[in-house]
Amino acid sequence: MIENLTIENFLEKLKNKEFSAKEFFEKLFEKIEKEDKETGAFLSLNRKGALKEAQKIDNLISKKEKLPPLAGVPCAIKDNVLVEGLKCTAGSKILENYVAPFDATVIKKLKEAGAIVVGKTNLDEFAMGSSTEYSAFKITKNPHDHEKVPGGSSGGSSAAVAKNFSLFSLGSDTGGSIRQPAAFCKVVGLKPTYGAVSRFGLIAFASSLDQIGPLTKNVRDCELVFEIIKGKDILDSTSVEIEKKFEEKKEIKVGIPKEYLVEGIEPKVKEAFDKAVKKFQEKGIKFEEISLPHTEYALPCYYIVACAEASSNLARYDGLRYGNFCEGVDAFDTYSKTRRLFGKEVKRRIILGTFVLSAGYYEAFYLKAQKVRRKIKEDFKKAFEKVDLIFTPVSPTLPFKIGEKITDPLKMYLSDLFTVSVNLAGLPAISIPIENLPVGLQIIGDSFSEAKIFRVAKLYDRD
Amino acid sequence: MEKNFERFAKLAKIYFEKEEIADFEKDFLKILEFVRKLEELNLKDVKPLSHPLDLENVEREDKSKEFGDEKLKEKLKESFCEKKGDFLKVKKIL
Repeated sequence: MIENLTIENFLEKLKNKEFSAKEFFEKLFEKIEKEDKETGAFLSLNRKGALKEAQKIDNLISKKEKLPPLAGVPCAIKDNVLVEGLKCTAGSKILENYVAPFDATVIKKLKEAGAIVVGKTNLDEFAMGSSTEYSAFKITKNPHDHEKVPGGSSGGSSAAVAKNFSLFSLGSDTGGSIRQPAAFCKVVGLKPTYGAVSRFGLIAFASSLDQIGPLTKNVRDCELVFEIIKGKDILDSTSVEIEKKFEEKKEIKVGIPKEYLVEGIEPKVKEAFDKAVKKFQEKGIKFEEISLPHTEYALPCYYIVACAEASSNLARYDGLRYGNFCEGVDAFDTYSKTRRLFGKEVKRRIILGTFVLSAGYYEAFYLKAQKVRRKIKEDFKKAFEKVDLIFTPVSPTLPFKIGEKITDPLKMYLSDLFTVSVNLAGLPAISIPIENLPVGLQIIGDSFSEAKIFRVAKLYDRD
Repeated sequence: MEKNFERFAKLAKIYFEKEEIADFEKDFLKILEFVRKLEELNLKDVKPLSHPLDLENVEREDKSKEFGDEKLKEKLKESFCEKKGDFLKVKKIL
């Protein structure tokens, strides 16, 4: 029954008493328990808690009380976002037994809106990866092809929506971790403008790049969830209120950066992208070629910035405050033995981050990357003086095979070729599935122009 | 390089077995080579950008205050490895 439902249909049917919330969740958990053995989207389920909340929604309905905007809507949450009382592992052995002591701000907002958490979804350890294979606990399979990866790092969240285990999910995006798995699993994913959504309660990876965002079945649902989770939060000093109003314009001009459609892009991706562009043209959108000249420097710049911030953020896992602990002879021995629990990719990034921040290398690497970051931001600024939005493919490739890139970190990093610039510049971008292929169209907007992105993306929305 | 890798592992406070080091180092050198691409650019007079938003630091007086939420305080303490009453035990640093 959940198969053909969007959030809107669900709310309608619930209000019309076509099913009760409790009934719905009982069937939903039956489905998950049967089908998730194969997919591996969830790390843990919230069966008891969810059924209790569902009963509360049913009580509201029977008393004919006003329902909150997401009453009873099942959602899946990436396991790096804190939900009070549930385990939050970040896909890492180091947090294997950590139970969240409070709700992240986004969770507080979703709960107030009536949404119900079904469970916590799999991810690459500390959200570092592009295939969800770096999870310390399990492999998640692409729901459309079990030999392929679902993308990452929010692979569990995208698979959960694609498999109809939830009506929406939350993911986090530091360099493409919402958009790329959304593309690979044929769902919609939004990386909001930096600051649009509070990061309080998100386990930090790279604080100047991380954003929480929704993964949904269509653009309308995506907008609905975004409207609930956005906004200034006193607990995150980098969050801001969106004040910009969207002006209805007769003609929307879209730029296609020439640097994105060159080498390394799979022909099928290019073909799907061109077809999608044609469909938007038919709906009256005007296109022109633009240039983002520093595109080829975005990925090396990103890895320096992201790893530097990660090495600092992950210093808190010292075996004392939370998570697992390995006793050593002194403080240093305790830290370094406990931190051995990090997986290979996390260790690689911490070491790289430590290196680029260390005396003697700081100027040559970190400072240089910060300068390149400004160049990348300026490229976008210039582009948005000419066009309203920018279209690119989300990933240069189709979903790859499980195991195909896991031994070669550089190959894995290239999956993020088209997505990292957006995080460096702090911009919003959506991924929408096109041509019924695991290919995403990325629509990038200027800061805080989510409304414009939604309006144009909806032209392609399926019902 | 081996000596260097060990230096950064030590700075990052991560213990590596001897036999792991060669493998990590190989990947590390490859990644380093990749990020060196930035050297192609002339970045004279470019101001570094550390954050996408123009934000000002949030400041407050350096004064302690009561935590308030007793239930949450207990939960935060719970995840600490070693504790006694309201004291949380850490290893000796010096």
